[in-house]
Amino acid sequence: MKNPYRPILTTIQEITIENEAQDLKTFRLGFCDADEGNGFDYQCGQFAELTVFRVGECPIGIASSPMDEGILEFTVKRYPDGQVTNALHNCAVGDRIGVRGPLGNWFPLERMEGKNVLIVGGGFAFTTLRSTIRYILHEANRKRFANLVVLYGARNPGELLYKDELKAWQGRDDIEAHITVDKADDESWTGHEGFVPAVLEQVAPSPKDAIALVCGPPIMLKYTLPVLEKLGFGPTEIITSLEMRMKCGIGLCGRCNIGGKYVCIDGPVFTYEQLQALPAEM
Amino acid sequence: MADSKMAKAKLGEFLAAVSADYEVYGPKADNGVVTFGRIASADELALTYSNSTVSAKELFLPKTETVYEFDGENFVDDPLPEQKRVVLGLRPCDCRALTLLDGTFDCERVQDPFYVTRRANTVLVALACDRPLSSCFCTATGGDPYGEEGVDVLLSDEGESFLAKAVTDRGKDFLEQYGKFFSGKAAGKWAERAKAASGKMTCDLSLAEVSQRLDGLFEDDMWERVSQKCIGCGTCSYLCPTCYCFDLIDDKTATGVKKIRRWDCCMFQSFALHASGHDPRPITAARFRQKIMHKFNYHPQRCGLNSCVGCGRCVRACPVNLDIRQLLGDILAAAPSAASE
Repeated sequence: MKNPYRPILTTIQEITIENEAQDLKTFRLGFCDADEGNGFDYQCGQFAELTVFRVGECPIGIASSPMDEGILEFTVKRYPDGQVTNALHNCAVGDRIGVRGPLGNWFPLERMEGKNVLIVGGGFAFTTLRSTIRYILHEANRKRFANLVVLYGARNPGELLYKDELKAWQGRDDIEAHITVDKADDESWTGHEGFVPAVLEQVAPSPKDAIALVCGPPIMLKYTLPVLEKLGFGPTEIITSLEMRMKCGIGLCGRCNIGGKYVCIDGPVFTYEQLQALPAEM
Repeated sequence: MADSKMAKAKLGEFLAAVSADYEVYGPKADNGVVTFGRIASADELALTYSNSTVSAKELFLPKTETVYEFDGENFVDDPLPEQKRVVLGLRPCDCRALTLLDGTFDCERVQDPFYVTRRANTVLVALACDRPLSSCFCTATGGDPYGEEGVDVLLSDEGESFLAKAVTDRGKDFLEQYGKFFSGKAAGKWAERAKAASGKMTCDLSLAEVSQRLDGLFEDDMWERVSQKCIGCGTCSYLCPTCYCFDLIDDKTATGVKKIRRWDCCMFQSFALHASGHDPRPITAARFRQKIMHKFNYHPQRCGLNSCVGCGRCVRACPVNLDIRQLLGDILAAAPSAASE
């Protein structure tokens, strides 16, 4: 019988400091055992429990794409009170990290095939969306989806994640990337300025044959979901991902309930329709 | 094997024989507190209690348990609890509770190897309940003082002897294995005894409909009211035979770590707190609601049954005298139209 609590071993191959505040780092992990790595078969939108041995475990969305063979990336925000996120940020290349997963459900990529895809992200909740964009942009997949429109916002230019990739996307003709910042404190900024919901209203992507994936801080979601509805996206065509304290990640420990749902096994991905049926306890 | 009987005078001999093949656990009394522990001889067994103070849950889901050990380089082999065990003298409500835990720890989706191994290696020899307490309400939850769910062998205390009945194949094998201690073909008065016992139950609630009633009550202002005196101590959860929430913590060793699964409780303040400081259930009323909804609404949604066997331990032990029967009674009495909106 498989022990569902035991992680598999990885080593940190690369650490990227993502933002000016330096509290967001992307960890590229390599599997210590190639077989275990091949068995780690994940989908866009899933998460894993990351273990810093002798400290603890925390749930983090997978930021790499299933098409990125042999590697696994996680972008982790360091919280002052977060024991594991602090320990992760103190890790160095070569350190050993445990990974338990992949866990949870995923974005409905099969349902999105042949459709226009709108991706709206804010702040550091952009990680599993980045996974999805990388997946769709992969040459083996790009033809399976119609237009890809991305709107991504952060507080200021220095807080944007994956800056090199954002630049590369803007140079491609098979993705329409809108990058916005709440406030452009940098004179060389050429992107949008303004909050995500406002820019979304300006860009006004068509809801026709389209599915929207939206992830961001609660305040962004609160104002963005109504804009999507106004644009004509139906409640089953709007898809988001929730965060909860998911300790075991396998539906046992009882922590991540929202009503009768466990975010760790019934989510983290929910449609807006499902979200509206859940009690307000997030 | 049909019904049989064992003279109490033979209990010592019987236990000695069983102990040669199994680890034997049973109720032990210490200053009136009855808990389950290893039994070496018959005089350690406390079989006259109404119900044990603490449930037999921890024999299957210990308060703390190592779920893996990493020595800094490699994982140490899982120490699976493979010894064969007999638990003697637990009540039918506690056996039924284990069948509810099975739905979580041994389901199609996930199996907890430690729990599953213990369940597979343990024979449950239950003692039917002839003296239910005024706080007991097993019949309200669908159980019975002579209930057989989860039971391998059911005993009934007849005074000078125990009536014995095999419920499962495992129970049948067990009674056959120790057949020389039992006189066969004893026509026990099971039905009469069971009827007399259930006749002593004082709670006339029927909780089958509670789940449905709770559907519309999440936003109700009752939660603030009913949780007002709760101090969030978690005693109810720790004594509950069906509560199973746990924490996973790191216990450092010289070079590595043991990952410990430790009982936790949804009534505790830090239970759902995020690293960011956000807490989805920041007040007692929200946590109290979570506990009741989980037992009587969410669990039925997922597994089809209320997560309560009516053992009454939470009623007896609550330091501020919260009585779950009163709360459930109020929920049932609420106008169905208002509740099911």
